[in-house]
Amino acid sequence: MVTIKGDQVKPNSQEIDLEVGETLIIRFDTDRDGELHVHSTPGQYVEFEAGTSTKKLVIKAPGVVEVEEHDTSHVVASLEVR
Amino acid sequence: MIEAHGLGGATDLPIPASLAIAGGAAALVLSFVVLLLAWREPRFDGHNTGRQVPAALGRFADSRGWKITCRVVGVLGLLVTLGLAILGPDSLNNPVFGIFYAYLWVGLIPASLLLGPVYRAMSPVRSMHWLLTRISGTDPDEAVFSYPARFGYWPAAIAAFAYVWLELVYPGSVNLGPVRLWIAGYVAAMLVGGAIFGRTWFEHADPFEAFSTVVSHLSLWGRDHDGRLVFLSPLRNLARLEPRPGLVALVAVLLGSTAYDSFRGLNRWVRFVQGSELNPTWLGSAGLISAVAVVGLTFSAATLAATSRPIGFTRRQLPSALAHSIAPIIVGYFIAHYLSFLVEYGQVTMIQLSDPMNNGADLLGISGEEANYFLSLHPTLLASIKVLAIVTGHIAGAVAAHDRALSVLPRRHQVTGQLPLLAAMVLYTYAGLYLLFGS
Repeated sequence: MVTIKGDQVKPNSQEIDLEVGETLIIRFDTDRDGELHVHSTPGQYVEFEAGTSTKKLVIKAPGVVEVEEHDTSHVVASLEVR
Repeated sequence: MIEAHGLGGATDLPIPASLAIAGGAAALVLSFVVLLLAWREPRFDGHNTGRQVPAALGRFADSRGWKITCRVVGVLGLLVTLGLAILGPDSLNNPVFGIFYAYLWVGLIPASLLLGPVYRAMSPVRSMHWLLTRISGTDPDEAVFSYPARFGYWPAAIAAFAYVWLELVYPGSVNLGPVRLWIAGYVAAMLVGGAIFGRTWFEHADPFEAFSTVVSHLSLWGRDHDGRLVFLSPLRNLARLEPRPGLVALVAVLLGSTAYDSFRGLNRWVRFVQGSELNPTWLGSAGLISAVAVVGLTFSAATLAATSRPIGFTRRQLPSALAHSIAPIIVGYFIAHYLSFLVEYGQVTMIQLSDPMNNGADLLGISGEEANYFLSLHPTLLASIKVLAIVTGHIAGAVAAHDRALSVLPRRHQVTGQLPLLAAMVLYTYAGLYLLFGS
């Protein structure tokens, strides 16, 4: 669950364990458009719109992947993908 | 646009606890084996002449053609870097970031291990200095002031700190402006210093040359007293690294900055920085300085505690006299920390170089290719290589320190005097394993 009010982005680098190929469901509650920058290999982007929405994310290679809100550079999650 | 998290995609998974524990135990046990069972007379100091290389190889290495080739490659490297930094796109698709942070810094390690002091041979700032002296008709060794010996490697240590601060702390590290400014400052500082102190400045002040020279002392290549190329065993070669003031500072920057790079990736640190009201750049600077200071101070304290009456050195020189023993630990930790980055981001950079301006060019015939992520896809293999690299570096460091201790410590301090340094090395190795374990 990612909540954004302007520059206030939550959560603060939540640790999430994930399997390679598993689908992570991200729920958004935000007052603006934006995108998450997923520092996987290769990199991915998750775009979101103002309001509530749900997006899916799949990581294809093992590693530690930071998920960063683009405008604020705030890390919302650290995915440990095995 | 600011990319706070720098280059590369995913970072390596933490190493499994079992491997970290096995590596730590091996490091500890082998340290004491080195201390108690190893030789009692110094083996690497003194008679270090090495073995002559085949005459043809020696002639080739000293040939004008080979030297000029190295210089031309270095100058071309700088021109490509500057061209990309000035004309290229200001995005992570610009290969200049991979060249500047992966090839130049991390790549110096394998290059110097394989070929010896490569940066010295290729240094574009040395070439520019040579050209300037040719134009003005002066001797490149001529100095306005002779370089004060007490400065030693301090300028290189300070410049290396400026580099790692840009890479690891400054939020604009992957924007073109700061990279351009850093390179301009580097070239200016090297040329002005070279004009004042002559050619000896580069050896003491160029962070890339000093780093490469330290690592090259773990290669098989050396020079005998007549300047001829010889083969040397890496540990003998390492013992020939000249202790100079500032060597401890230089190795502390190299090891401490890499430790900080692991540390800043720990989720606990990320959460702390994001939850703090303090400016992240200040927090990062404090973290980097602390990491460098911990290495420098623990090493200095441990070596100063060894004895009050060293042989052949003053007590103040003791830390420098033993600082070569940190070099294998640096190499081991660099391999552990940056191997996947160098191999995988190195390929990404090469692919980007094929289309440097992002206009669909295919200069190298590999545009649009996918990098090979073999290492990331085999995390257990990668973790094993990392632990092996750290433990090997630790043992080589302990052996190098033991050998030097035999010649600089008075006989009654030879065993007890080594204990504090061994403790410091075990501390570095455990800290390294802990950071890779990432708990």
